[in-house]
Amino acid sequence: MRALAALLGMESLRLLRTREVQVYLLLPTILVLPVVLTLTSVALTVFPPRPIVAMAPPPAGLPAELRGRAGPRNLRTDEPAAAFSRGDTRVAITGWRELPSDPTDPTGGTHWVMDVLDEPAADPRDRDLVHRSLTRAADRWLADEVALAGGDPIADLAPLSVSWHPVTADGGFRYSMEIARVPFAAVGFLLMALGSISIPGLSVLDRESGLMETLRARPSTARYGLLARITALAGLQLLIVGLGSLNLAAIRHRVWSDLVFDVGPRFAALVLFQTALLVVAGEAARTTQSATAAGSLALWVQASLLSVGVLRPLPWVPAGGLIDPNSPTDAATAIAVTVAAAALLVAVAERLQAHRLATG
Amino acid sequence: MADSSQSSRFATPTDPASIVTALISLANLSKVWPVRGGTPLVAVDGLTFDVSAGEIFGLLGPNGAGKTTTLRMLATLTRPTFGAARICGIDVLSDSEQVRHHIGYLSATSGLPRRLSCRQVLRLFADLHGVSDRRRAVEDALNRFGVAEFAERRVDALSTGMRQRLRIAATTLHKPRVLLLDEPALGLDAVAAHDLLMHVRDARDGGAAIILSTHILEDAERLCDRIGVIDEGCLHACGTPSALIAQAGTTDLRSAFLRLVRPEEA
Repeated sequence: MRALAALLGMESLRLLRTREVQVYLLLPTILVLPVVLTLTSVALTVFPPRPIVAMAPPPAGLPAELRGRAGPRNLRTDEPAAAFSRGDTRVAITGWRELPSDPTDPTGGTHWVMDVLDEPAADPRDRDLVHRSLTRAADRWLADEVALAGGDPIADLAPLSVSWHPVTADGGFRYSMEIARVPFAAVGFLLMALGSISIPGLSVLDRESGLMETLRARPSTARYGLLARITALAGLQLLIVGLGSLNLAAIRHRVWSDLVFDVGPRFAALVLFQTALLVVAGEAARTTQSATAAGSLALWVQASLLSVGVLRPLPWVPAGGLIDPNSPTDAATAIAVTVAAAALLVAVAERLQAHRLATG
Repeated sequence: MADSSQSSRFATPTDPASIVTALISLANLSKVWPVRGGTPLVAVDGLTFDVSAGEIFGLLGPNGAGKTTTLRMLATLTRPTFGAARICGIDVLSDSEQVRHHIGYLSATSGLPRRLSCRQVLRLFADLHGVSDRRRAVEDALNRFGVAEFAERRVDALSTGMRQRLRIAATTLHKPRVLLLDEPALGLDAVAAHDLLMHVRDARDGGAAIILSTHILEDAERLCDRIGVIDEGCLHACGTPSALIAQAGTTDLRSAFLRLVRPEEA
């Protein structure tokens, strides 16, 4: 373990001290937060956005996930109707009421009705936005409730078709959150791809510089060296994605009152697997040129996997059709499978490295 | 040629004294590289010799003679095709990881992590070898090899000579019983090369068994206790420098070397 820790330290230091990593990867992700937040704050001060929705404080019993948060677009006020009357907002949510349980209701849970004041002459874009948000949020919430009660969300929801006014729904901000996940996943992927394009070249550089030879003549370093490298590289990528996400989340929090993305274990496992794949490509490559080509190929693989829904859920999960990505147990299984696949790739890389080193 | 799994050759060493003191033993060690669509290339062909503790064994030969391949097989970087080799009694094929604990391998192409400082490099290698008192070992190496002044300087900011000093410091930090040196003085100026060879001599005096591959015949003559002349993978002659000179009927090692590897030109 001491050797592994030493190698991990070496790989991390080397990466963090690489100018390209500092200038092109870390600096932008670190700078985005203060720069964009400052610019956003200035813009919001100079051009204050008009709130769209005036919301009454939600009642204590309202499920936490249905509560909207105060922000530039949500005006949390004790008198939403007054705000609406003054023309401060386009829409007002004046209150929530819990309906008594209906024994014939397939959800078997509580129902909430939201009282909404709408302005027929309101800007249709604002109305559409709110309308869609509320409807979708209501749909999702009801579907969750039905599923929790053991019903079929599609069949059982039919008699409960959701309408916009008034409707059982939250403030629509759960929907905003869902919107956020798509671009964040894409941004995460792009940042990750940016960080990973040079990974295969590192193996070739180490071989050409003689470092690999030096390390391979030391005890316990073949597998440990690869593990350390993959861990450090995956860690760097997650750091970059995490910083980027944090920045975007902070911006969103400032503007739209939503906190969104987290780099979870599923994403981390995927990055680990992908980094191992890139390291294998590097060990297989003879020259820096072919390593770059191999890196491009790996990015193609990434893009292909993304296009068929890699980032959520993991690649082989839907293909197998045996695992429910929403089940915590199955998700843990998928993560374990991904990490095991990465470990297998380490063994492949070890063989390739030994072969390349032996044959020059 | 014997199969690499056979170790019976070790049971009958040429010199009975080597049973006790030989730290490096080669028995019919061979390496054949496959050539696609052509005849396989025999890089090393049945090398057999021992190196004892406190001995420097020079490996001389023209380019492509098989010196580097031999040393890389002993350093567990390349697998022998036939034959066997032992370091401190441990088979390089079956227990390569254990072998690596006992060796210090340095070649002209050995690299170091460029973005680490000298001290960090030595700490890394101390950790890899599991050196018990790391701090003391690192400080000792920094002082012994004259790197202390540059301890915090990064490897990529070192001169060639300083870098080579750091390499030898990293190679000997864990006090290996066997040193495998492949052209260690290549590219060094006379002073740096002299310093390096003094360190090699010190290691020998400390009881290490050393194989030194070099093209600098003067160094070999001055430093080596025995010399093996290798060409086209075969050991053509082996003995003390004076014995080789006598065997070739010349007055110096350079002439002897040329006569031994190119007898037709003599």
